[in-house]
Amino acid sequence: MSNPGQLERVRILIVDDERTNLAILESALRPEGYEVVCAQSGAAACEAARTLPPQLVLLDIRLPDEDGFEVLEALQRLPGMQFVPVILLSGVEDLSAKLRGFALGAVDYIVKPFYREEVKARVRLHLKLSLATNALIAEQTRRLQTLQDAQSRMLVRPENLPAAKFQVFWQPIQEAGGDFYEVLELAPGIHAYFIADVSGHDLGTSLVASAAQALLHQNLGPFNSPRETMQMANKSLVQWLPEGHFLSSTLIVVNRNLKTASIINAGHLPCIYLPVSRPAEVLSVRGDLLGVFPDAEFIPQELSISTGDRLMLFTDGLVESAVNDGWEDNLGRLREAAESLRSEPLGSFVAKIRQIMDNGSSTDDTLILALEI
Amino acid sequence: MDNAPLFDRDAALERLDGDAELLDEVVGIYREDAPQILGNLETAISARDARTAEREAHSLKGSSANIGAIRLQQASLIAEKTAHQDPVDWSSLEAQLPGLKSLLQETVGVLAKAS
Repeated sequence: MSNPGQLERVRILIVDDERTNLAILESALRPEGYEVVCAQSGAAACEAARTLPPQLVLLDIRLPDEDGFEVLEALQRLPGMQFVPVILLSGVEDLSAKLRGFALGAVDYIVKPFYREEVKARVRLHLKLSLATNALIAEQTRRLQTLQDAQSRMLVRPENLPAAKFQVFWQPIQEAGGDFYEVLELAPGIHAYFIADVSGHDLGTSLVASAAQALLHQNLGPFNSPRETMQMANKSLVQWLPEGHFLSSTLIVVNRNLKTASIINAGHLPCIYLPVSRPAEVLSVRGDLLGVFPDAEFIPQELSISTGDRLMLFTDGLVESAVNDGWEDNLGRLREAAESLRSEPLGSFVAKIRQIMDNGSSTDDTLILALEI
Repeated sequence: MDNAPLFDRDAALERLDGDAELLDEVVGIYREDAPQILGNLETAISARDARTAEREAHSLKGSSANIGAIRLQQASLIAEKTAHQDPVDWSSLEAQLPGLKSLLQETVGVLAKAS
């Protein structure tokens, strides 16, 4: 806590084993008014981040006896550290290392030997950006609280967005069922597919669905990775959703230009992947639910995809069973069904999947969303 | 490489936006640490420990770069690259050691005069 009349100081954690580097970085930052904490190993860095949480981290990617990337991941896993910007310190020749650092969520890098003015400028920039991001999350949460258009939510139909090449089967059992989906075009050739199951029915699924959709609209884009999108949406949902409400969901971002798909499973059922040239598989990487933990982690599964590949998302109504065999068995049946229907056009593919899996006594909503590359 | 200066004070000062006091402080740290880093490199080479050898050469390169000890920076870059090869050419690394030592001696001599 700061004293009256005194601003709380911005704390920067520097992780580097080289004393000359530490001296130069400290001399760049301390006189600017930052509180500087130095650590010469990954373990010391994590300990420092726990006891004296920083607002920004400068991290050497070549630390003795440990992998700088593991340190980066360990730091990001600490409570409250997920949105703290990390700037890498690296040599000019470490291009692949820099790229790997960016993929893991580092925001920038500074090349050695350091120019003091550059260090100051980049630190200033990323603190401002970080402040703006946090303000954005607060603003999005505020806007959700005044959301008026909850009931007028429109679901996108396949014919509205032919380039997204998707088909939906949806059978809501209850008046206001817990399932919903969203498909968005982010740019030509880039589409996002989102499916979710809302728990806690009393709040009104449509309100939660509208909120989740609004958050996707606000956060999806070329500037945010799917992981960052989910992190931002989650932060707002945690603040906004009443206790005991959450979403299980899956987000797929397909880039047909680059032939890649990023899949983030947030506590949801697996999805089925049906490549043109290989047998169908169940993709069952699971991450945290949306709306429960502020620091939930959403690690994407990255696929290289080919034209004609299919991905299928669904909710639990499809695989729940009236008899004793559990949903794991039904998942196997579902994979076989997808395999046997691979030559069907996408529209009849989803309809026939439903027929095969229907046990006539489903008590839950059933939603299937299939897409083709 | 022999044309590069042992100590390019102006370049180092430019990076530190002219703060001569800071440069003196960093040079002081360097004069303490560099011989130790080179000692660690020598130990790693005798122990045929490629990972440590590469790391120590990298450290020597980085700290030399910080103070503008350009020739030692270049020589330790070569050592770092040699240690990075798989398999490591140990006789080449051993052959580089005397050169690194005399370069460090020369560099520290110039630094002592300059401060």
